[in-house]
Amino acid sequence: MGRSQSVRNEMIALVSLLALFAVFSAMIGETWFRNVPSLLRDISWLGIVAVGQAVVIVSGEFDLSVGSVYAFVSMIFVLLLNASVGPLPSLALAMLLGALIGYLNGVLTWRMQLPSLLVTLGFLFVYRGLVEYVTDGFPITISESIQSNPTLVALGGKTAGFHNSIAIAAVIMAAFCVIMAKTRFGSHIYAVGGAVDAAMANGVPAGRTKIRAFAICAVLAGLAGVITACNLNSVSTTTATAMEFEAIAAVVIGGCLLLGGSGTAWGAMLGVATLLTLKHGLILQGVNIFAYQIVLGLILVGLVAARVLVPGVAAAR
Amino acid sequence: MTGLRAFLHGRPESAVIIGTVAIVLFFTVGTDGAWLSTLPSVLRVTAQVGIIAVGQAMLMSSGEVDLSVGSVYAFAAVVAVWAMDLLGLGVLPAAAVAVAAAGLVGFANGVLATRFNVPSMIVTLGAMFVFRGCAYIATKGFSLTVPREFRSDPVIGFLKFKIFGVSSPFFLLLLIAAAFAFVLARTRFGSHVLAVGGDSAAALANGVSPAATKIKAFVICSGLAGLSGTIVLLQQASVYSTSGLRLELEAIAAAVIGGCTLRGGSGSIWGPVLGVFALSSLKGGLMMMGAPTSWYVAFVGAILIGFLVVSKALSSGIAEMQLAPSPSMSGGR
Repeated sequence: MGRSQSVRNEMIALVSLLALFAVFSAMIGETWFRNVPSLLRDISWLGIVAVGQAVVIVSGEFDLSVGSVYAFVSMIFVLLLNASVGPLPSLALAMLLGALIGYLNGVLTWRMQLPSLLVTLGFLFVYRGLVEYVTDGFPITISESIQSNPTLVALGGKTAGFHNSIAIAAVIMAAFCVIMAKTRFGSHIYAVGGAVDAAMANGVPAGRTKIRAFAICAVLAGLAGVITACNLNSVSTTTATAMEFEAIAAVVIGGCLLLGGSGTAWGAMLGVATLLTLKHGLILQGVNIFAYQIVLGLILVGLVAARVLVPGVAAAR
Repeated sequence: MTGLRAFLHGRPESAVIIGTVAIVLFFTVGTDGAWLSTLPSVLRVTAQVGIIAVGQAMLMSSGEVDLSVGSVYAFAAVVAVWAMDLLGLGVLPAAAVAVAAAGLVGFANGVLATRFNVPSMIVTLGAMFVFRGCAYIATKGFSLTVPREFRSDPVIGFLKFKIFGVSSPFFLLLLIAAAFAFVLARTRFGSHVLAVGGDSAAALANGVSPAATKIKAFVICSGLAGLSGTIVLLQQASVYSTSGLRLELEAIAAAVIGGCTLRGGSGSIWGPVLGVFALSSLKGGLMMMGAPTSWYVAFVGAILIGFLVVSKALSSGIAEMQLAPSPSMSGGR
């Protein structure tokens, strides 16, 4: 089963994405196409997070802290910038912070054999609390003198009408497709997620693999946060609340199995695209934004239930 | 002293007992006893979250988890207002309808999780989105209010009534906790819950249906979340679009601190209630000592992680002493 199985799951996301896109183009017309750049921007932001989440989920763990890490790392990035640390050092430090956060998640999960769901739930509170404490309910803005810095513009700006983050997300997705499918580390991720005992018996360094997966996830969540901060020039208390749930939903829609061992980076991106196409379409149709949440919930459950019911797509747990 | 040690030894709740005593002592001494005067409001909050934690604890004992309790909490309150407003029901029947609606959500969750083999994380994540969306739409993003003519109803009067300065829902929580502690420890259904959570294949082989048992646990969990939402609605007269946001995470954190595990098969009812009390005390205490509320959020996380690490260190230490086989390396869940 393994990968051929998960390709079929991704096809469901691909087909529903194309169908949604066609339906919305027909129903909304002109306005829908003018909205595509901002749709792609949103896809790139959540997509970067979802790729990282997919790596962790394939390795057989969860990361509930991505939303808080997204906000926390981008807040530190903005604070460093405003403390007149240069943009590149700030970016490097922010990414290092992300790596440390992920490393800590991984070490607690693996060395202490704690459930990653609970460890990262704890950190969801910790980092969100820190963000709330520092921002104190108000947005923190990047000083105007730094806003036009080339590094910040490269991360948050636009080229030819499209946000640069779209290209960044595409590169990250492509890189992780290759890493997961073609490298030794990638095979190790599938191995530890599929059957950790068998992987260890065959000499796969399970702990190191999972810890790296967590580090990748937190770094990508932080990077997405930094890109958002560069685009909006500010970070607020509620930045990316509930993003962990959206990311997990997207990854599952994109074909990852929650028990690990199966899933791809491009599937995660497809899941995000499906989800956000639906969101933008419903908003442009003038449907209540919150109806989107209802539809999202129904699709999530319906899709996973359908995988169980449709013959040949068994083992979808 | 040996009696105390025997009492604490090997209990899933011993950590939360020690932690609660420490928190209470710390704040009582730290504020020169002023903290004790906030006890009524701490107990009021404990009642709100505690009723949910009891349900979550039942469900976690059966090896499943419910992420939708916060949304169901808000949704049940919306249903109660609708029942009063549109159907013209009295307060008590409206509350019954709300709890029944919540129970129905739990039934749907349970059926999808057991009969359709969808992981409970996914089912209840979906339900969380669906019913939060419903609450947003029903409240139009703001709030819904109990119709004026019901405000002087005796039931509302009872819920606002204070016994020894403590609002009555806390005593309701004690009743519910006692009832479910009894159910889990002493009844056939309780044994089934623990058996199914411990090893559902073995339970099935012995004639206990994991699906039926888990569905009942889901109904209890959602029903209690709905009950808590309805009680708070009646106390405060309004439900907001954001009511109960993040409550699922707090309830799970409290249940874990109180001795429940994600694997199921063991569990406690009053441990989680004590966990909720400890977290609420922390919230009130930190605010009294002048800390911003954001500290509380961070503290909940730190306590959860600290608790996990310490209890793991203790239990693996015990395991080594008893020469038990090393803990399974299967990781994750």
